[in-house]
Formats: sequence, C-alpha cells, structure tokens
Amino acid sequence: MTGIQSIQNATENVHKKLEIIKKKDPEIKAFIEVYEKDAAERAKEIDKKIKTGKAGKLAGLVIAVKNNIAIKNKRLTCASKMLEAHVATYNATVVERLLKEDAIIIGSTNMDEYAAGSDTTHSAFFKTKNPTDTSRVPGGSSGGSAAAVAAEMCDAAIGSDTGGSIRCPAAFCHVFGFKPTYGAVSRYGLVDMAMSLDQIGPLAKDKETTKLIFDVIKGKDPRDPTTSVFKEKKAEIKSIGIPKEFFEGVQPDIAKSVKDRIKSLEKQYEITEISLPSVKYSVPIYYLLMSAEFSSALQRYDGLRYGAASDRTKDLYDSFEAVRGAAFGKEAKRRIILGTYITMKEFRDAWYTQTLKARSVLQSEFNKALQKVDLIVGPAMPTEPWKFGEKLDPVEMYSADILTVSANLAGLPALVEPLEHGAFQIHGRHFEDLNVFDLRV
Amino acid sequence: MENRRQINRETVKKVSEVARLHLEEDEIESMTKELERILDHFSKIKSLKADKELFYVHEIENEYREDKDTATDPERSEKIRGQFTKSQDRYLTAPKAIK
Repeated sequence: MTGIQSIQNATENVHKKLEIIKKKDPEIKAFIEVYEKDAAERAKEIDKKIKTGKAGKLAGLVIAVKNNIAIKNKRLTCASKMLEAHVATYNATVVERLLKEDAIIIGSTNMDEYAAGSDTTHSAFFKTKNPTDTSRVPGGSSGGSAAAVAAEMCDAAIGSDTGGSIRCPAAFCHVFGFKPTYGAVSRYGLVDMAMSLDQIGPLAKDKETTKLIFDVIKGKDPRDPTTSVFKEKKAEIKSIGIPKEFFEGVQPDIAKSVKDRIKSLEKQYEITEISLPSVKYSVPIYYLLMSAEFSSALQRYDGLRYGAASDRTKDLYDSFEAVRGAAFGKEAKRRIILGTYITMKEFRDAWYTQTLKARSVLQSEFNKALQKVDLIVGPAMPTEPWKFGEKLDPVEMYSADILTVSANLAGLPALVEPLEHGAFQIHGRHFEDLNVFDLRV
Repeated sequence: MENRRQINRETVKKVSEVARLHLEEDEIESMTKELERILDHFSKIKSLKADKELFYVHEIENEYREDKDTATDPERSEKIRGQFTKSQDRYLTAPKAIK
C-alpha cells in the first residue's frame, strides 16, 4: 500500500493534483466540474486529523467521481442536457463512505450520456481524450474517471459498470478497474441505467489502491435492498479457467499479452481450458435487457419536477414528449426505442422473455464453470481503443463489449489489470471479490 | 426475415409514442433502419434453447423495511422544490392531464 500511506500532507497532495488538472485537463477534458475550493478546504481539515493521528483509511487521497453519482449540493448531470442544471440534494452512500474515511473529492467526471456508450463520445457536453494517446477514445462510459486516473489528475476514481463501463475505460487508459459482485456496493445515489446490472466500483493506477477503495465502499446499506452483508469469502485459489470463447476476434497482440500473463501463472496454479458457449449470445442478451431496463429507468425524466423544462404546454403528454425529444441524445433515444419495442405487449414474449431466459442460461453456465475452477480469466477488450470517429455503426460499437457484459449478466466480480497490449480480466465467484485481487504475478 | 416485415416507419412512430419520446422525421427515418439492423443482428438469441429456464427467479433475497419518517435535513425539501421546472407557491405546476 505504498501509494496510500505516503500521503502525509493532504494540502500538498490536493495542490499537486490541481496543478496537473490545470495543465492537462484543457486538452484531456476528463472533468465536468472541479471542486477546487472545497477540496483545498477539506485538505486543511484532514491535515489536522493526520497530525493528531485520527485520520481515516483514505486520508488525503484525492478521488474523482463519475457524474452519475450524487454529491450533495453539486451538479448531477449524467452528461445529459436533461440534467445539465440539476443539483443533488444528498450524498450517494459510496460518497458518504469515502468522506467518512477522509478522502477528498476533487470533481465530477465526464461520461457517455446516462452511461449509454463505450467511448465517452456520447456525452452531451464534450468528448474526453485518452491520455495514453489523445487521438483515441478513453473508452466508456466511465471515460472521464479512467482518463483522470491515467493522467494523474487524481489518486483514484469512482465509476459505474453496467456492461463494462469501468473495465472498458480502465483497459483503454491502462489503469486498474474493478466491477464488484452485484449487491456488494450500494447503488443508493447512483442514477439508474439498468438496475439489475449496475454496480459502482473503483479505478486506480495500482491494485492496492483499487482494493482499498472497494474495501471502504462495500457492504450492506439499508437504503439499497439489493446490497448484501459482505461476508469475506476467501477460498484459496488453486485452479484457473480459460474460456476459449474469450479469444475469438481478439486482436493478436492483445491475445499474446494475455497468453503471456497466463503463462506466468502456470507454475503456481492449475490452468484449464473451459468452454462457455453462450458467450456468443452475450452481446444481444445484454443490449436487449439493458435497453428494456434503460427505457424504464428514463421514464422518470418528464421535465416537471427537475431537469430540462418543456416549452410545450398543450397537455401533459405533449409536454413530456417534447422535452424528452429535445433533451436526450441520439444513443439514449436509440436505447429507449429498442427497450420500449421489446417490452411492448406484441413483442414481449419473442424478445424480452426470451432475453431473460437466455440470461439464465448464461448465468448457470458461469456458475457451473466456477464450481470447477476458482477464477475465470481472459482479455478485457478485444481491441485497442479506437480513434475518434472510427466507430459510428451501433452494432459494431455494441460488439466491442463482448468480453465485459458477461460479468454483469451473471453478477460476478471482475478486475481489469493493464498489460503491455490491452488488459487482463479476472472473474471470481459471487462475493469472493477479494480473491480476484490475490492472483499472483 | 421476420424483423424486416415488422420494422417500418409506422412501428417506430408507435414505439416513440409509447415511450413518450418525440422524434423528428429524419430521426424516425434513421431509427427505423437502425432498429431493423440491431434486431436482425440480435435475433440469434431466438436460437438459444432456453425453454426450461426459470427466468423469473431471483437469487437475491428481497428485504423489506419499515419506512421511517426521519427528515434529517430540513433544507432538503426546499432544495427539491427549488428545482421544479414550473411552480406556484409551494406547488409543482403541470400542463392539464385530461384532453
């Protein structure tokens, strides 16, 4: 935990990060807002605690938060015109837990609108660049969080992951990213994208910081009934499964880096090739299910209680339609239409019900495999980050998520660690989140 | 193909009405093509044999709790009211609901 314990002076750390933000963020554009004054003031308070030896586990650690997670009295925009001026009136549980351990929140980060996207180009405000190569996308939808970490504008960041939204940008920006088991971290204060898939998690430059932040934010929350008491289930890792399906269509240099990483494990663990045939259906299952839940989650934005206001007043529905049509971006609209279509009475059985059944097939396949092996590993993304403007066709963009969506569909924990080319992904059993951090080099 | 017959401009128009989402003519045009392509590509899930799956069973236990009226932040309701897009006195105003 070298990076963490070395923070002896919170004020110094904050100023260092603010300087980097001033220097790099005009080009990278990772932040929607930077809380310069608040962070500096809070650092002073934390320094007093450090001096008296009463500081929390994250004392002085500078953290950026994806802008779909509520921070009291700060704008909660989801990078959408719909919520551009919306101010959160309370803190998300994860934010409360970070603050309780004396973390410093430096700002809110850019994302695809309502987390709908894989490259952060669907933000209604601006595009975020990949700090490792500014001609390329940072991945998404937590692209701002990953870019802020990669450019060292913060010590760690919080993102949300519905189908890979932490792990894709972590892989693309060469940082660590972790999606916890569904139910391990409270979603209270996270703006819903698809409620049966969403999970909040950390991103950082090293594995120890990623694990430490997960340790702080995890655990039961009475305000989110899907959270469980986090029982630290730790089984000794003996065997590792490699699904052959995870290598189909993967760029050769990435496949090589991943295979080299696997080779490094051969002496310590039993490596078995396994098969998860329903992975080939995972992208359709994910996009259909997520769109159904997404269209339902976004029904609440009606332009009345908060958010963008409608200029049409003929009647209630006319006003709803107008404000939604004007304030949602193209990708959000596409998913609302797809999700509404497959849940309409006429088409529900053929599409939505079949999707739910298919999800069960995939879930049981992963669970069965994890009875035989302790971890499932493979690449995180099939390609290197694409260049701006390269991926325009939705089907092509959706296909890039093939290696990340399964963890969400099956509710499993998954850690991404950067490699020379691409990134390595480690899946564990439900609530054995700590195991995925323990894989030795 | 089944989908090709199903998706046309009228379908997309109807779906947008159900979703309460206004689409411009050019959006209906592009959305029709995209929805057709997406569903065509995704129709492979129909070949997955899953007839016996208990898709409605959730493994996570449902937990109920008593709702307690514990307003800890008296300013919060004011802040929420302050974000109404249109209001009169302390009330939210909306266009008429009955035509």
